[in-house]
Amino acid sequence: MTANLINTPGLNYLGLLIPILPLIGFLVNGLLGKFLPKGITGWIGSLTVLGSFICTLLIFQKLGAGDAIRLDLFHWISFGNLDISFGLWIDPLTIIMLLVVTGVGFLIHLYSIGYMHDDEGFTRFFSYLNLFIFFMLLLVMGSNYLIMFIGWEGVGLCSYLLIGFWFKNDAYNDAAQKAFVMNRIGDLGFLLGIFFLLFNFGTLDIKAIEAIAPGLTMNGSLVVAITLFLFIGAIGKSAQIPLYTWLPDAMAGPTPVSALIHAATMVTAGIYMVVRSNVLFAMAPFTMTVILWIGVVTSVFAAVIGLKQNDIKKVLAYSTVSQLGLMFAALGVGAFSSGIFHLVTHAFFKALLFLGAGSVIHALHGEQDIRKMGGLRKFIPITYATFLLAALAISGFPLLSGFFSKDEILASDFEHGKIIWVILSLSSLLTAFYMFRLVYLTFFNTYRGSEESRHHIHESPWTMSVPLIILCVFSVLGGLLNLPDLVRSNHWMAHYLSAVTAPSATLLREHEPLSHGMEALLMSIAGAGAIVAILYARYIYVTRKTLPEEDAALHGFPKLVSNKFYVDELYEKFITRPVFKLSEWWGHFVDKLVIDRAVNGVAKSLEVSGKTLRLFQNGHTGFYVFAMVIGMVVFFIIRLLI
Amino acid sequence: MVLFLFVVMLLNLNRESEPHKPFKLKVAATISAGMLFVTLIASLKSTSLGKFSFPPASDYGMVQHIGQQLFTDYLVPFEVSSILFLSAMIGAVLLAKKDKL
Amino acid sequence: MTQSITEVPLNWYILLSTFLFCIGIMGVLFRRNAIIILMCIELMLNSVNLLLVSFSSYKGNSDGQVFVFFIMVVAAAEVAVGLALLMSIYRNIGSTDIDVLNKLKW
Repeated sequence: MTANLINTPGLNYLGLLIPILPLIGFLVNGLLGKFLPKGITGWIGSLTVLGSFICTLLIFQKLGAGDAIRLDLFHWISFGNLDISFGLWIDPLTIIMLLVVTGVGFLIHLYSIGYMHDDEGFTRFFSYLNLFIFFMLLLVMGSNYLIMFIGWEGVGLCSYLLIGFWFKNDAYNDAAQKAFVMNRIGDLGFLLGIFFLLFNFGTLDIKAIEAIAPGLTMNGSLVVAITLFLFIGAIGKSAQIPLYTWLPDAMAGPTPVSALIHAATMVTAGIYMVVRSNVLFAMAPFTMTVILWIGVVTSVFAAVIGLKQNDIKKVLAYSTVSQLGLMFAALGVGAFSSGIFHLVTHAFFKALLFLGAGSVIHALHGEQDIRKMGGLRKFIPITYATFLLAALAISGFPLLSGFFSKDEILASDFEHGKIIWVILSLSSLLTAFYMFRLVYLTFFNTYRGSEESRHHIHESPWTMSVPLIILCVFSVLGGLLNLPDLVRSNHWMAHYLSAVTAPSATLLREHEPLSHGMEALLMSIAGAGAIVAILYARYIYVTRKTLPEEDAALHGFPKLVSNKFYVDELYEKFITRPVFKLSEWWGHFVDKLVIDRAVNGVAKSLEVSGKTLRLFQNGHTGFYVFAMVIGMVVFFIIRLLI
Repeated sequence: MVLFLFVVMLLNLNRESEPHKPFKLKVAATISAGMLFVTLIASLKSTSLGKFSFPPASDYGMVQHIGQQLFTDYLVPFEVSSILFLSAMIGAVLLAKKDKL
Repeated sequence: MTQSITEVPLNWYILLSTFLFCIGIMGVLFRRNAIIILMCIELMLNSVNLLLVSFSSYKGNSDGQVFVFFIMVVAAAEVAVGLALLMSIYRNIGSTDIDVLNKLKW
C-alpha cells in the first residue's frame, strides 16, 4: 500500500527543522559553551529539543494515517548504478517515534538542568545530549538504510561519550568501551545486512525495498540471511541475549543518560528498525521465530537476574532488558503495532523510574545501594508517588498504561503458542515482584543509612520534579493511546500505524482473532497475577521486613543469580582473553617479525644498493671507459635479441 | 716525425718498468672486448648485405670524383670542417701554452 | 683493378674492420699511458674508415669515401687538441699515467 505523499512547503520546513535544531544546540554548546554562563547552556540544550517537539506536534496534526512526507535533501552517493540520496521520510511510525524521542527527551533535558547542576562538565553534558538527540532523529527519520545506519552509529558514539562522561574514573571508561564494542559487534551484523540488501536489490531506499521484497522467495536463504543480519544489529543495540551485558554496566553514566538512552530511545532503535523493515521480516518466518525466542528467553532471564540486584539502577537496567525482550517477543509474532505501543508506554514509565531513581540518588548524595535506603517516602513524597505509579504501570497493574500494552503483547503471543504465553506471563510476574521489591526496600520501613545522611535528604528542585509529574501522568493515562476493541475504543495506535504495518500484514499467517471473552480472561489473569505478585512482595519486604543478604552470605542458586549467572565472567574468559592473547601474539610475531622486517628490509635494500652503486663512481677514467664498453656490449646484445 | 714517434712508442721498449693495470682488469677488458667482437659478428650474420653492383661508375675512386662530390653535395660539411680545424688549432695552441712564470 | 677488389668477399673486410676495432678497444682498456690510448683511439677510427671504404667500393658509390674524408678531418682535430690537453696535464701532474687522474668523483 503506497503512502499518500504530502508536499506542503510549511510541513517540509518543519520536518527539516526537527533534526536541525538539536544539531544547532550541539554546535552552540560544544563550540561556544565555554563563553556562555552555565545556566544558559542548559536552557539552550533543552529548548532546542522542545522546539523539535513542537515541530513534531505541528506535523502530527496534519499527518493522517495513510500520509507521509518525503524530503530529499541532496544527492549523496552517485556511483555507477548506485544512487543514494540523503532523504528524510516522515510517516506515522516516524511521528510516534519522534514524539517519544523529543517529548521524553525534552523532559529529561529539563531534569538534567537540576540533576547535573553541580557538575563541572555541565555544558559538555548538554552538548552530548543534543548530539544524541540529533543522531536518534536521523535514525528514525532516515529514508534509506544508510542514513539509519548513520544515526545508528551516531547514537552508539553518543552512548559511549555519555556513559564515560565522568571520564576520570577508569571503571566508567571501561563500561563505556564495553558498550561501544558490543554495539559494534551488532553493527557489523547490521552492516552486513545492508551490504546484502545493496548487492541484491541495488538500492537502500526503504520504500523501494518494501516494494521489491514481496517478490522474493518466502523464507528463502537470501531474505533469511538479510533479516538475520539486521536482527543481529538489533540484538546489539537493544541489548538482547547474547549482547546484553553492556546495559547494566552502562549504569555508570549519569542517571539522565540512563533514562534517555538506555530506557526510552537508543535501545528502542532495534525495535524501530524491525518494525520499519516489517515486510522483509514477514518474508522470513524463520527469523521471526528466532526473534520471538530470543525475546522470550531474554525477557525471563533478565527478570530472574533482576530479583537479586541491590543497586537501584541495575535493577532498572535488567528490567529494561527484560521489557525489550517482551517487545521483541511481540515483533516475533508479527504484532508490530503492539510492539510500538509497548515501546511508547515503556518509554514513559521507564524514563520516570530512572528519573525517580536519580531523584533518590540526588537526595541521598550518591548512594545507590538499596540495602542502605528505606523509609524514604516520608522524606521525598513527590518522588515516592511518581515512582510508585511508574512501578505499578510496569507491573501491569490494571488500567494503567503498562497493563494495556503488556496485555496486547500477551494476547498476540497467546494466539501463537501457549508455552510462549506462559513464559511471558511468568516474566511479567517476576517483573512485578522485583519492581515492588525495589519500591518497598527503598521507600518503606525505616531508613537504614547513617544519621547524618538522613539530615541531608531533601526533595528535588522543580526542574527535576516537574518532569517526574508529567511523565507520571503519561504513564497512567498512556493506555488511552491504544485501548483494545474490548473496551469499545478506537484502538487508535494500531489504526494509525496500519499503513506502515499493512505490507506485512498480508504476508503473515492469518490468526483467528481472539474472542472477546478470551481476551477479557487473559487480561484478568494478567492483572490478577500482577496484584498477587505485588502483595507477595509486600508480604516479604514490608510485613516480614526481610533485607537482602550481604554478598558474602549467599550460597547456591541465589548466589548464581546475584552474580548475573556469571555471564560477564564467561565472556571474559572465553572471548576477551583469547582475543587479547591472539592480539599479543600477532603483535609480537606478525607485526614485529614479519611486517617490520619487510618495511625495514625495503629501506635497508635501498641503502645497500646505494652503497654499492656509489662504488661505480671511483673517478678512474679508465674505469669509465670500461663502463662505456660494457654499456655498448649490453646495448648491442639487447638489440640483437629483440 | 710523428710517425717515427708512433713507431717508437709502439715498439714498447720499457715493458718491464712501465706501470701496468692490474691483472683482473686486463682479463675483464679482454672479455668485454671479445664479447663486443662476437656481438658485432653475430649481428653481421643476421643481416643481409645488399647486392653488389657491377660494373661501378666509370670515374669511381678517382680523386677528381671525390672532389666534385665535396664541392656540390657535401659543401656545407666541407666548410664546417674548415671552421673545425680553425677552432682545434686555437684550442691546441691555447692549451699547450706555457703559463707565464 | 676493380676485378681484384671483387675477388675478396665483403665479409672479410667487415671482419677485419671489426677485429681492428676490438683491438683498439682492448688497447684503450689495457694501457695506462695516455698517448698510447690516443693512438688506440686513432686505430679505432681507422678501422671504421676501412669499413666505410670497403662498403663504398662494393657498392660502387663514393659516398663512403667522402665520409672517410670527414672522419679524417675530425680525427686530426681531435688528436691535436688531445695532445695539447695531455701536455697541460703533464705539466700539472707530472706523469701521463691515467690511473693518477681519479678526482672526477663525489
